[in-house]
Amino acid sequence: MSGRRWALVALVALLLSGAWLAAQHRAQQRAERWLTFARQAAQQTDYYGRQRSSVEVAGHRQEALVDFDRRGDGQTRLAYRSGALAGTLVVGAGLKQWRWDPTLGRTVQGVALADPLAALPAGRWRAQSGVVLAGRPTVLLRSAGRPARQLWIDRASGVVLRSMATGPDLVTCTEFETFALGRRPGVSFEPPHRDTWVLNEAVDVSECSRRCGFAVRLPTWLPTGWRLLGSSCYHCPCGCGMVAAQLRYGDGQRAISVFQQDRRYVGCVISASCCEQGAAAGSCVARRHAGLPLVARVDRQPVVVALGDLPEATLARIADSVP
Amino acid sequence: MAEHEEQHREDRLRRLLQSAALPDPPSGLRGRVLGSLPPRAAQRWAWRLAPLAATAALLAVIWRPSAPLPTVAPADLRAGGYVQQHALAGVADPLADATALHLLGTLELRATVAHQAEWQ
Repeated sequence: MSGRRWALVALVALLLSGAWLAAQHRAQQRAERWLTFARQAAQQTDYYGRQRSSVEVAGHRQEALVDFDRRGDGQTRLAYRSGALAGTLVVGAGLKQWRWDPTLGRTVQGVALADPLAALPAGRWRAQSGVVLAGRPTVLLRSAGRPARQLWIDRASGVVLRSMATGPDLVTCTEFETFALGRRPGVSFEPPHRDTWVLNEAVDVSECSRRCGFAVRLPTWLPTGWRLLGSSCYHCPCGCGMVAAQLRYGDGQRAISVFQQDRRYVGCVISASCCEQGAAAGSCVARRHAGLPLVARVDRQPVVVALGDLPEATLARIADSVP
Repeated sequence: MAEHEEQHREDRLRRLLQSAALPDPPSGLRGRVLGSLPPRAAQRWAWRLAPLAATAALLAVIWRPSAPLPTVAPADLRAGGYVQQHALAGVADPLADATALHLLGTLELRATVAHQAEWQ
């Protein structure tokens, strides 16, 4: 082939690559506009409806019908109507959440650490036309990460009408069967305060160190794009008095938690055989739990446990980087 | 006459074959790869494969891991309490599936409480 023909082929290839890159950039920008719209809607819009939610872990499936109410000031109320959680009431406000669990006969107070402003899109979302849900047309956003996520966003209000996450052995899906804008009459957002059990509290890292009784140290290595979203103190529910530090990290699409706890109480959280095996191996040990990779370094003080949306080897590297 | 010419040509060919020294085979990896091909094919394919090899080497340099990832041993690790807290901590994100995370987290807490005595 002559030189001129080669130059022509190269020029055509260059033009096609440029057009493809421009189309990708436009699709990404479009997806990011929809994500921003959805985040704003969640923070400014009152809405309610009935949701059907399911969790599938390693072939075991749980399903529930839930009456869902959300207010623009951040208050959320979930009343589980069917399934294993029937009768459970969850009220969330800001960083706090309360769950009345009829099976345990207690209200459990917990924490919500994800900072919405930190959870910016990681640039891997794509937008396309979605189906009609609860009588409303939607836009479908897909992310190709692990777990792969799909969001169906109401074109008119920006509210997420269906959310689906598909991981290696954990699939979650929640969808509005009925949906309305505004406030459901007669609904109370008063937290249930019967036998309240404080399980987790949002505090900064220095306060965590004081409460845990050891210096909580941050991992020195994280994958690119990951940053600290918040910290809290977890109280062991068995009453042994163990307090663990929870550090939550995210990259805008995925999240992990790094727990640090006193080795004296390791048996409260991790099985005895795992402790023996981990101490003998002198390295991280791992297992999937509820569809999530979970890695522990049990032969050190404090013990480090890392879990979430990253492969075991990456979690082990993070755990090993804690000074 | 014809027989004489034929004999002469064979003698000349034999002398040529005896005098022509074989070239040294290429050494190293190139020798092992190209030595197994006929000379003309080797010359032709070497030029064609060179850009491919250069691209592969470049990609290997670009996507090399920054440090080796540690291997982890499987273990009977049952930290359900931590899984529960991780799930529930994410529900504040407006794009998170809060309803499914609450479902998962509450079931995990029940399992943790039920098995706590057994683990200790």
